[in-house]
Amino acid sequence: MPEVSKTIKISEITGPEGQWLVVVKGKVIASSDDPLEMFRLAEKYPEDDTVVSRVLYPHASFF
Amino acid sequence: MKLVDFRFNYKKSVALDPSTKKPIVDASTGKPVEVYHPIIPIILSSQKKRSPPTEGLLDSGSDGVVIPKRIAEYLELEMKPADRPMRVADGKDIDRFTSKVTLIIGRAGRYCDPIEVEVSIPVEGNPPILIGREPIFRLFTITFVDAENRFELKPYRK
Repeated sequence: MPEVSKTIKISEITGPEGQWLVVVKGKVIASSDDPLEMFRLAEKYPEDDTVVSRVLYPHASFF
Repeated sequence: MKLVDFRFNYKKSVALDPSTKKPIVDASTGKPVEVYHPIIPIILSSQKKRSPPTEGLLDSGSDGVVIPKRIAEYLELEMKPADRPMRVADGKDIDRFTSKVTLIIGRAGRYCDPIEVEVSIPVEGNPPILIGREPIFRLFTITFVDAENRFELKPYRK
């Protein structure tokens, strides 16, 4: 899992494209392309402080 | 069902190249590519598990809610093969499962009542969580104000 440690605002995110990030108290503590792994990590932290976010591809179209 | 108004700014993303860890640069401007998306805070739950707070992309181009298979596995959803595949943006058909989850929209103590939704789960790929039209665009009047990078959800009333 690549190490990432950046402070981000809830309205803004920076990270490797396509990756799922665990953000605790505004800091990215981990990133992975596997959301299951990130959800399992996030459940160890207080829900009010934590969000699992996704860095979306620029100019992507999804389904 | 209690539904509440929400007003959010679009979420700004600056994607980094995974190999260089540097921002992806727009060749025409030489500046990092910044993109803005209508992202809503959500929690997904099944009868067995509840997700940590996460986010979904409001996507009027999607007929319904789509979640990646790995999140379905986290939630321990019972996945049923769908009769029909899903057609994706490039015209390709992808087999999918269906299941039901409970969707809670909101954050910081301000939440809607749980909404039961049927989800599509593609057998391949790793899409973001897509909040498509059914049922969210039917339950809310959604206004996108791209010029101001913001959007609003208001409970639909006749």
